[in-house]
Amino acid sequence: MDRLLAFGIATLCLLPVVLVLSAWGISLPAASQESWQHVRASLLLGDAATTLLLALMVACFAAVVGVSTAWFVTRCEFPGRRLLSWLLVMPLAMPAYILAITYGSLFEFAGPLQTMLRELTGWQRDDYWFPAVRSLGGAVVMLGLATTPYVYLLARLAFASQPAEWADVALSLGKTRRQLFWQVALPAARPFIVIGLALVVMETIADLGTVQILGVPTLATAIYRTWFFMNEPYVAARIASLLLILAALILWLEQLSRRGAAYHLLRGRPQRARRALKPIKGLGVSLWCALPVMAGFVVPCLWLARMASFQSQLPYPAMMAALADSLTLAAGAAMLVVAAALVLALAERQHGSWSRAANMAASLGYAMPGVVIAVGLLIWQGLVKDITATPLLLTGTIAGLLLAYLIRFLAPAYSAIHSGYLRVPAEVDRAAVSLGTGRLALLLRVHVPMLRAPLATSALIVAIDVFKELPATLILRPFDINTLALSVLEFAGDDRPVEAAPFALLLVGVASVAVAALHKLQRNY
Amino acid sequence: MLRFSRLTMAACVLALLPVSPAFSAEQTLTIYTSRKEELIKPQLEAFTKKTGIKVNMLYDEAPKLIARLESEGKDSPADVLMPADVASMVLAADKGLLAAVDSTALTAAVPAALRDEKGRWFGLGQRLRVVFYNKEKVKPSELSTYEDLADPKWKGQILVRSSSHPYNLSLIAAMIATSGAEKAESWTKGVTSNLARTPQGGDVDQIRAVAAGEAKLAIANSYYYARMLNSPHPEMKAAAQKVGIFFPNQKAAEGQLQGAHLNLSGAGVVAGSRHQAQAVQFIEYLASEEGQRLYADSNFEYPVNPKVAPSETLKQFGAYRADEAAVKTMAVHVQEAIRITDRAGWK
Repeated sequence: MDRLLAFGIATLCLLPVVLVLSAWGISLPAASQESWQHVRASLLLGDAATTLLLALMVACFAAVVGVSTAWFVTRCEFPGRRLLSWLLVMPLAMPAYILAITYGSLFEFAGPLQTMLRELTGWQRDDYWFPAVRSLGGAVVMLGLATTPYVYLLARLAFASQPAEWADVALSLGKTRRQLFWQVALPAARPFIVIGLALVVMETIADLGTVQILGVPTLATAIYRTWFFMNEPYVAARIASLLLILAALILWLEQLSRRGAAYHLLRGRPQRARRALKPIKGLGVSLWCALPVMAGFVVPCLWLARMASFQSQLPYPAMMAALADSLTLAAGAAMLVVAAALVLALAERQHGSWSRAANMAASLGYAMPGVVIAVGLLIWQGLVKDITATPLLLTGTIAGLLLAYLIRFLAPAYSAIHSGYLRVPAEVDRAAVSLGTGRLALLLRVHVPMLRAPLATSALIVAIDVFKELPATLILRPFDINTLALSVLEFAGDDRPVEAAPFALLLVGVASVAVAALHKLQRNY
Repeated sequence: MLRFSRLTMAACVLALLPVSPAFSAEQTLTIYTSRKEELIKPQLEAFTKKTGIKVNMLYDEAPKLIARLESEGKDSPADVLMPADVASMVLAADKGLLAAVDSTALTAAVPAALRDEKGRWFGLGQRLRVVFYNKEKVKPSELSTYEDLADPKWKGQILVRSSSHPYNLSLIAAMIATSGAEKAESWTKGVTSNLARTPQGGDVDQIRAVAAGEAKLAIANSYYYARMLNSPHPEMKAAAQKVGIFFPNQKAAEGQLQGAHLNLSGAGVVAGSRHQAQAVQFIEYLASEEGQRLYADSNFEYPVNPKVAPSETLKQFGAYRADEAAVKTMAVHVQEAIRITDRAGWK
């Protein structure tokens, strides 16, 4: 029964994937063939290279910043540690597209910083160099800032739950603290870090809004351009299959990185006391940890507040209505996606490899831009309607939206629960089964209570993601739904940052509450 | 057990909740539009007040709305499609998604050049895609035509947004329609090599950058400039005041665009609409003098109805000649325009 359910969920999630792959089985009409040739000749190679480079650099950014800050806050004592340990999660509440809008405006030629610089120095356009935010490098930083918390959260969890004995043993064997990090703590935390990095990379290659704002041509923008401006869905689907290959590769690498290893980290003495750093060093560490918080959260909030201040009166009724819709969708999606992810994770725990493959396939949706999933569902709806002549519509219903969210966000929900399961020793299941506990009872009375924190984590992650989600909501929503993210897009997409700012602030504010809850959950593990 | 079933049930109830008031209320129109809600809200509210017909609107970009219409087929709740560009209206009409409307009120209000002969779509508002210049660095007498912007003398001095935008694609498509693909391609290459930076930001960003001196010229739409001039944001207003607007191709030669490039927003009745009469009534209202007055005043578009004068801000820009000839002929060239921008490296 649970196996059947898991299979059903995986199948649903594979719908867009099947559609994307079917574009290779269809012989294209002559005009589309010509478009395909054109895309291959002038777009594909460059955009694929940019996408790879972007993903790689964002992963490096997130790994360096996420792991180092996680290590510092779990193992060292320095000024502001407690505050920073939760502020470092905050950029999760900040959509990357808002970062892109903020820094695009702050750092551009006509923006306040460069204007001030020119006024101070009297320089003209070609007299000086200034880093361009609307560039590949800018996209790396924006997406890096926004996704680093995934790595940070998982690495922090891993470091915090490593038994104190490990450090005792390493140090008594004459290892330095540096060696302790590189030879013991980091390798042991690797599976968790890699899960985080896989999420970061998938989120990066699926991103459309940020790279569009920053003018960086990636596979996602190529799909968009081909699909909607050239009106060539099958050519676009062929490009999308490249993203699938990339995502499959990442998931495979992730599997590979923890092959043969079982990490059951529940045992052991609680952490030893944190090491106090010398004043100068401590200050340096504080600054290092404060940097991503400032850049990824505080500065954009201040900029938004300044923009909002230009409005004589804030549109409270519209803001509250959008908030209510956002919350409803986020809550509904969180419940649905977490339930589905739990079923899949359980199936994998009990049935091993076949369901692991199915779950990996189901996770591919996270690497698809929301717009591909949404329009993929539109095409499926058209096909089903043609064949069955049903008058029912998926579009314009909450069901359609929730299905899109399920496909899109199953991966992060699943990996939070899955990594939680890694920490539940298999003996627990054996003990329960030997006491005559049935499968459902095992899930509900043993696993769910033990997984309370990972389940809540996964629900919060989905809720936050849905809260920030744009393209799928835009295409599939009923017309009386208008979320905060949509309101931000409506104004920001029309070059009206002043009108967009109050909605963006509310979005970030409410998401911050969820993110803070996420932090608390993890700390109480 | 209890907890699991409650969770599942809640998810199921939520999932099955149909949210489609279009089925219940007779006097409700559903509009699929790529116009931002802010821009057309005054018209919608005035229409509801006058007729008692309520209006639901669903915003998205036109190609996606068309995909949704196709997917929903005859069961679509949509009654009216309101895109912001001609190419989308032509595409929707070609796919058979729009109904032919026979209305004397509409043929009287909308000039023939700005509507479909078969009545499947009608233009309602015009924006001009024109040239903006830094008043300190450029004299209007140095400017002449769009074609001139490809001249190497403007090297590093032109700003324009990404080519992945209907505004730019329609300009290049109009070039193809007027002077052929080859000339359009060499123009596109010329402009691309004159760009001051990789295309980024929206039209307002281009105008602001010209004001700050990043380049001398920008290609952008008239209504963004008008809106900046009336902005509550002091920096926006100050930037706009440093920039002048220029209508190119007013005395164009043969083989050049025959006036300032025109972006037309409009509307058509959805073929499967269950409220055809009210849908026509809605478009008629938007084209009427009252509806057009709102178009002009609320979002700085040039009205299509010749009886209605543009807003005060637009009047100050002066009289102009728009390239009406290309409005309908350019739509079939949009695909070609994309390929040209790809080859030219206009990102």
